[in-house]
Amino acid sequence: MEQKNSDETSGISSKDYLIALGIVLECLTIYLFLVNKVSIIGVLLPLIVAGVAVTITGLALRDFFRQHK
Amino acid sequence: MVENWHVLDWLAVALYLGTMIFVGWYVARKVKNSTDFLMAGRSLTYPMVVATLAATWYGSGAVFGTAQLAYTSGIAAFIVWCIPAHLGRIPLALWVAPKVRGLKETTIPALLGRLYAKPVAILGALLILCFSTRIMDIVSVGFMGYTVTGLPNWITGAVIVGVVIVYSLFGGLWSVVMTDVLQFLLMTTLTLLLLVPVWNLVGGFDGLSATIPAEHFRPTGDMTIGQMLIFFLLGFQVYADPAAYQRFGASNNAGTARRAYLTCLLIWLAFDTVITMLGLCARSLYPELIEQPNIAFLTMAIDNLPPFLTGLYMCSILAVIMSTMSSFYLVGATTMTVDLVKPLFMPHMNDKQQITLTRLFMVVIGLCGVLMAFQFKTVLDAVIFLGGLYLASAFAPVLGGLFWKGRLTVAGGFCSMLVGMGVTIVWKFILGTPFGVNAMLVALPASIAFFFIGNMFGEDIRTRTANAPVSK
Repeated sequence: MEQKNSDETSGISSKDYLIALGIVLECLTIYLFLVNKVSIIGVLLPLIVAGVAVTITGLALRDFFRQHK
Repeated sequence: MVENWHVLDWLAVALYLGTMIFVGWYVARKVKNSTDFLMAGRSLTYPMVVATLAATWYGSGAVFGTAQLAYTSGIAAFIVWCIPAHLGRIPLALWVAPKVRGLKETTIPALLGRLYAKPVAILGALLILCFSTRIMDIVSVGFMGYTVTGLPNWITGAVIVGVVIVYSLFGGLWSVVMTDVLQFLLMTTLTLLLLVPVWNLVGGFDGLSATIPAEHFRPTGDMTIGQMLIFFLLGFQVYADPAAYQRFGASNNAGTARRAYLTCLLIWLAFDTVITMLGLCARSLYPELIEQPNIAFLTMAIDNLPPFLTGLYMCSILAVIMSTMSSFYLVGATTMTVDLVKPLFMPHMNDKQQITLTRLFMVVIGLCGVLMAFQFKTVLDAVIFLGGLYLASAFAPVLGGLFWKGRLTVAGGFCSMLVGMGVTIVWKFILGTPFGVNAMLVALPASIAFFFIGNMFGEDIRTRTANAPVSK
């Protein structure tokens, strides 16, 4: 019933665990910033989010046009 | 606030809506068959999946709900609601996403049909249909339109639903994904427009501390344990989220599905913090609007941004809501076509009929949503009820079916789903929420219990499958 896929069978890579660890660390950092009232977060965080979003959007558009040349 | 809404703001909104329709139309030219229309040819790359998942997950609940909670309870909005929800989703990314990508089924009802039997699939399809009407998103759009422009709620709701349906009709999942990509960019970058000036205006945390109650800076705010439990459990609704499953299935491989979801968690955490801070700023600037926190949130944008930029900021909120609506309309319509009409009435449906019928159901679901939407008092009410109904009914049968290693029977899946739905509806509408306990807190444990009880009865599905004759 299931279509096996090479990536699925290869399992979780160390990179995936690193990202998961990154998520935990991000939670902890933001928590500490909020609880300790560190104001710089109000400028830094939206800038980071916007930077990441611009990069991801650019890559997604590139992939779309490559796939549909 | 209505008088501050300028003709340039209308121009920004018109430009945004026009662009979405153009993108939907442009992308549709790439659609060749029903796999392209329903599953984007199963060829979504990592950045595409990240953008569409991130945009889809953020609906009205995530933006207005978080801002409202931050306004009333402070940083607890992030600590009680967002942190547990995102940490709780790491297993979804690591194990569920790749498993779903490896399945041949493209919808949750199809999966339920294979795991259990047709009646469970039909029940699942009906449930997804209710969830796909996106009542809470239409309520938010209507509320936003009324607050900002003074137009009646239903007019704004109907116009936005119309635009969403038009661009989604063109190219199905391809149109939805590529409009999501742009909406993801809008929603994330345009929050900069508001947060940075407003944060400086209130004077950062020093200014906030002087103007808002001290308990707003306590990790749990003034929430009761019951409230915290509801928010904690709502985060797990995504474990049976049909739009997320559709994107996992549409990814170009299992690794993409896994890593894209993990990346989304990183983005969502940061974006949630931004929304929490906007809610805190709204509380500081408009303490008199304590009964209507979301009006404070919108007023803050109108009062602090120049014309056109105000319109653009409203577009970023529309982007958040519309990206979710379009995904769920497609999911609901696909479910109706592939999981209800095709198996029950048109088993020999061809590609063209499938696409036409899916388009037709998108229109029907949108219309139903508009007609039902304005029955709820606030967005958060609608989010909690519909989210709770879906979580209580689908969580145990979907996750149990995929991962439970013990006995699995049709009765287990069916009872669990039926009890989840039934208890939620009876508890809220017939019993009138006894003791003030939210329906979800009763329905979810009942559904899980009936999953195990039901599995004691009937033939084990795995034994039945193993003993079945091999068909040629």
